[in-house]
Amino acid sequence: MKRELTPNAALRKTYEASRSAVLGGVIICVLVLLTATVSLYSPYTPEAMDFMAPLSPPTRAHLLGTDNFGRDILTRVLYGYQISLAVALGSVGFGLVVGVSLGLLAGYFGGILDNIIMRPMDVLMAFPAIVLVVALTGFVGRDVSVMIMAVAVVYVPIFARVMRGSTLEVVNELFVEGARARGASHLRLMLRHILPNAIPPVLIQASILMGIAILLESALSFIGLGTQPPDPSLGLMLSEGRSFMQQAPWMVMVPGLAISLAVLGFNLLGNGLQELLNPAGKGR
Amino acid sequence: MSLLSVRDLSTEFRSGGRWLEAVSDVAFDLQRGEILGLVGESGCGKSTIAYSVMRLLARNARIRSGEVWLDDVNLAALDEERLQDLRGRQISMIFQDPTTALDSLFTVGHQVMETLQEHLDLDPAGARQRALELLRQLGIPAANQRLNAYPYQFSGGMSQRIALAIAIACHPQVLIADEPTTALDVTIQAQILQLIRQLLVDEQGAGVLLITHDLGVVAQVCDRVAVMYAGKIVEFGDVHSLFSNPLHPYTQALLNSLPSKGIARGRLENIQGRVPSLADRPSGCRFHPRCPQAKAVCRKSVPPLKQVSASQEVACVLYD
Repeated sequence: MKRELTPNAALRKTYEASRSAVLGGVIICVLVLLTATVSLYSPYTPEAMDFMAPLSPPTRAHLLGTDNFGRDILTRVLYGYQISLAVALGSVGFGLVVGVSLGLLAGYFGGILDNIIMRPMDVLMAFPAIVLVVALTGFVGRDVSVMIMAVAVVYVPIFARVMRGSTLEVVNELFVEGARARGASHLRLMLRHILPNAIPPVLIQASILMGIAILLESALSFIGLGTQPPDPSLGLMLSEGRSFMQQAPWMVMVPGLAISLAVLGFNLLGNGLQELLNPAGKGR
Repeated sequence: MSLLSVRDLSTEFRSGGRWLEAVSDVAFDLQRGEILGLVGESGCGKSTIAYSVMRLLARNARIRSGEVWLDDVNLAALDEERLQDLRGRQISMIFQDPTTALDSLFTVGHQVMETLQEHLDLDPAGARQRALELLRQLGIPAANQRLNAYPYQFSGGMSQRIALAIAIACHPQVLIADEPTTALDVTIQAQILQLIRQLLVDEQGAGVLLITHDLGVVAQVCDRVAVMYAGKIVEFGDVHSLFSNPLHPYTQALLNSLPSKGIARGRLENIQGRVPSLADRPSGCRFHPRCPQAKAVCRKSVPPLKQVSASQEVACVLYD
């Protein structure tokens, strides 16, 4: 027996190794919880206008103030998170499934298949993300599902590349050779032995890309290619609030801070995971 | 009939656009119930033979020619699907570093059972039962709890026992052991070799190809031994004859360079020069630049492996 930790000691060590992962995780969990249940506790709907109190500063009735139509900003931010998170989850989810499959195949089989898969990925990678997303939404239409697909198209090559690199490392490990030596099939090797051992860097990447997806959704909505009014979206609220910055600074500050908070949560989680799962790469 | 028959095997590696031969025209037979040692210095091609037989060569390597017969199947020409079926069931392998040979994400029980279920028609409960028996056979204490432990909780010797349990789980006819005890200390080494001998060879009549650079290990467990130098077998014979009467100058030099126990006899003997690189193999007999008895003819003609006595074959012009 060697190097055995009791579960508690292991947990404490893990926690100490990465407070930032825990903090990020808590931020995200709280946001998700508040967002998912907003319709249960909020006294307002996101479209409800209070004509008595347009551009109201934070008050007891409107905790974070109202916009120019008298709509409750806190409520709209929380509904806006729903769209942000839907885009982030959808695009990262799709990107993960497709990108990881492609990267795994490319890394495992190598050779010609590697080239067939990775060269188009390189081409996709060459486009700046925002340009690609703007072009896709501009052509196809303005809808949440279109945004998800557009961001996913940006993410697939990123995930594929990370997964391929990670697979290349794992595929040469002795335990993979050992599994082959006892008759494991290609599929079994890939799914049972290589995938779980190669996935950690991809998950770190996924957490960071969640944050970037939220930024991309906000940016698209900000320039009018994403969520359309009157639907609440953080980017859209930011854009609408610009004209009232002098009289009602909370109209831009609240959605702006909300975006920052979500992105911060995912980045903290990503960095923390990086430290936890890859201690050797610390400080990079 | 022999269990495993390697015929004129040549394996090469691709390097910088050229194919370099790591193993040249190697031939040997592995009999039922014997341990055949394959010895030689690092880089002489002994592991390459193992990987060629298993068809587990790296992407930049290939078998250029030759046959590997396991029963009536030529492994060298078999498709991947049939190979997967044979590996682990009829022929299996253990490696030098047992701690990295197991997948750290799964319990050892899971890994033993995985192989059992892949090849034998067993339900999970049956596989678990069989895994438990295997661990007990291999002398792992508290086998029941140990099935649920992860590889990092095992020492090197214990990990090698697990690797061996997986390798022999489906009663293979042939086990290839690639330096299985190099990473272990001497007492554990003896136990592992003892287990291989007892469980596989004596009880099941399987054949073992034991690859090692440790002549002590060879003397301890092997029945016959092949000495390799620079990709070729230079001498082949049963252990007793080879150790008491080494014929090839390389074998003689190897045995000479063993430190003898307890007797201070001055400098440790060594072999002058070094192993030629793959890219730059000498002509004729590959050992001639380092051979104290080299003649002019050694530079030109390649000596074939020839039977010189009932129990020994050698590839050297001195025995023409």
